[in-house]
Amino acid sequence: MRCRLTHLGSVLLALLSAPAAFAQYAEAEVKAAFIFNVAKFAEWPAELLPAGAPLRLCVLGTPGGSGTLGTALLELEGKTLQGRKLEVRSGTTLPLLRPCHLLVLMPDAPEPRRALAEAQGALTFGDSDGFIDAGGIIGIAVAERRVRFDVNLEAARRGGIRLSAQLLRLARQVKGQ
Amino acid sequence: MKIARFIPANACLPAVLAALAFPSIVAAAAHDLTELPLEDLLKVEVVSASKYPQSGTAAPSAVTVVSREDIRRFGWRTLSELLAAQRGFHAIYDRSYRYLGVRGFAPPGDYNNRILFLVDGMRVNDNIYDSVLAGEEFPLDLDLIERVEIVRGPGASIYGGNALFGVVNLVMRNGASFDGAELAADAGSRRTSRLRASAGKRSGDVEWMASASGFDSRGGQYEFPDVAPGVTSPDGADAERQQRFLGRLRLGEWQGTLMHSQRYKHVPSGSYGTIPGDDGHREDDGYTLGELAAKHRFGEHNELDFRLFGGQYRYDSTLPYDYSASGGPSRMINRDKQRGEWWGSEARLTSTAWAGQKWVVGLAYTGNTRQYQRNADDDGTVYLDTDATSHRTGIYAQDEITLGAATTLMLGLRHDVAEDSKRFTSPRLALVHQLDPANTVKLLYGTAYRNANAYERQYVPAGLYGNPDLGAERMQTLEAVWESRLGEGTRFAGSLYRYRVRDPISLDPVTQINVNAADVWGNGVELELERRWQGGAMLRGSYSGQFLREDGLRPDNAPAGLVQVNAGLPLGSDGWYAALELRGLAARKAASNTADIGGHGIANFTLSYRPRSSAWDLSASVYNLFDKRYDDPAPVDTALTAITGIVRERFAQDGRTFRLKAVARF
Repeated sequence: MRCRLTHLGSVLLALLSAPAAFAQYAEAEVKAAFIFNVAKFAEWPAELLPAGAPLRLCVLGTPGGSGTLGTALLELEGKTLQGRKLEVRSGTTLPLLRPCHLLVLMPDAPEPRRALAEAQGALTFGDSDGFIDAGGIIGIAVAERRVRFDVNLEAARRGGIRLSAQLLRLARQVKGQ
Repeated sequence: MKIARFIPANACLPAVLAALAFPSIVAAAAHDLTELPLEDLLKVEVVSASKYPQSGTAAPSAVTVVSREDIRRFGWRTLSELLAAQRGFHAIYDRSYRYLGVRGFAPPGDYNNRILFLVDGMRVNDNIYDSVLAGEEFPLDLDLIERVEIVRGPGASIYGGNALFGVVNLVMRNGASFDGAELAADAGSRRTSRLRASAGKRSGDVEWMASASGFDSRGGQYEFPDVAPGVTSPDGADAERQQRFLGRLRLGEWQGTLMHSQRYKHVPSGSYGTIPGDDGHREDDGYTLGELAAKHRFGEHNELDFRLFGGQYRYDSTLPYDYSASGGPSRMINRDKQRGEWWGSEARLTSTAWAGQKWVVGLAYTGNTRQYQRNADDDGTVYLDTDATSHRTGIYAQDEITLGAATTLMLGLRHDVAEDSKRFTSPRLALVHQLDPANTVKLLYGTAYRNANAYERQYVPAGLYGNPDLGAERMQTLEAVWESRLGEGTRFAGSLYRYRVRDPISLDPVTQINVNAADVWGNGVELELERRWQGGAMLRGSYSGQFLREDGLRPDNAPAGLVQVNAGLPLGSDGWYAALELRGLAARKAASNTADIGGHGIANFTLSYRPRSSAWDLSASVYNLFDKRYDDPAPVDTALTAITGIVRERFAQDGRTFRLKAVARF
């Protein structure tokens, strides 16, 4: 078995920082992984997501520089999710991004409410306050240094998206259950 | 045991053992967070709430965003160094201040009064020089910046005066990004050191941060053979000290900010004709800025921004002169003192209530309650003692209209009533068209103005410099921008522009009076290509061609070409990062077109380390890596010429310097 030097490095590091608690990650990275993960628990109607078609994640707004959620999401391009290839597209005009199965609103997304209203069939994510009250499906928040999320089940139903009970169990708040 | 799942198949035994012994390595070994089950992901601790909030710069334009991560990785020490790495920007230093040039327009000694600087939307430019000093004098620590938004071109249709060549908005880190305390220390060449302690927290609707820092540099010893042959400045004549304090508290929609800074600089250069080699020449600058701001959403589509602000700018200098030639004492201290105080308020409504439109309307008022300037010798001779008050009122509106799925039209208009009841109307027009998801073109027309400032009008010691009859300068720009995403992580931005600055205010080197000089025309092109790889590597290169004409000649300090390269590479996956910066400037003119300053290129290198936990980081930087000797054009110094008969052309710049920096978080 080949022992990579980087592992040795992390061992040394672990020994040096032994009493430290669980590893910390950049918020953007965790949120991006969270969005990816939640998508595993969703089901789209077959007419929106035909067999063999790629799953598309749309980033509405400016992805921003390194270290931002938008950039972390762009890096998910090409991963496999539910046996499908993940495509990531970003832009400020929703119609040009379609069809979106996952839609993440950046804080500078133009007209967020309108976008949410027009994003039928997309599992929508946002981290602004009151996101699910504005018609979004998954509202992401950070509390006590952990990622938390709220679900607007009514909005998901309206879009024809089914979310598994396992996901809802982990949510902080489920609206419209 | 659940954690066994994260151990990579090829991990060797020590890693496995360590993973079992110390939970901290468990997640670290799973480099790919997306492979964690959701339940475990929700347990991962996150650091730094780096959201990408609504851009503070409303105008669609050629925008650059510099992130906190880039600031750390490239080791920029001052705002001036950060900006000099951005396309179309360059900076010069005269051992007193750092002056920025944008798109070639860079009259040396203009104190950056043609760029508007904002901290989270709050104006920093003072009300004596309308300037911002971008070195250690700048009131905000670079470490406290979340990101810098740079908008090139005129921004007067929203921001009013001074936004001629660009608007630089610094977005401050919020309390949550500290979530505890942070200590930083650095040390560098010329006995330079800095200490900073900051803390911040967010709990529910309450968020606060506070920071204090101090900087001390002994400086170097220099010779200025063109001005004082055979004289070496004594140790300490280049010393610089600075202190900054910052506090911010947010309660729900309301946020209060207080910033205070003071810099003390000894000037070794004998500028203004002070005694060469005398370490008593000092120039001190201070800012105190306060703001109370609220952001209120109402209805589904409306947001009201309100701010109430106040500020003070302080300038004090001690200038040792030799009066023996005219029968006076051989050392007399002359003191310059300026105090600017202002307050104001702004209300801005942003509404998307009409489908397909985004309206911004605003009203802004600034009252300059004090514009005090004094110049006197220590024996009681007063050359100038003047105070003034003035007002500026502006009203503006902007509408972004969505035309079809891919086109946006932006119309903006601002009307100002400025000092001396001068009126300015600044229109702006922009058309943004998205050709396809990867390509966007923008056509921009913008205008801006700059009213003569209190220094240019009222600083009249012994009948020189100030000119109360100065007219305002105005600027118009036409620009075409093409932005493109060339596949994954690759971005291209190109722009072609043409501008005209009418009646630019400058000091006539012969009469020593400020005048409205001949119009300056500028034509230019900016090309930038950036690629960012997964894992953090990046490469960015840009070329700026900037061709200026004033009365048929090239203005001083206007390099016809800039080449800037920034490259970064993670070394391994453990947090080591190497960053290289290259900056090249073409030749420039100096001393009213009578002297030539050769072109130069310099390299800066920073090696940094940050463990995955982000609990601390270290960096080592070398500036001017190859110890390149080069000069910058000198600001026009008619006092020096009047006293010594010498026209100063240039300032030699620093050779190789070092800095080591450590940051710890608790």
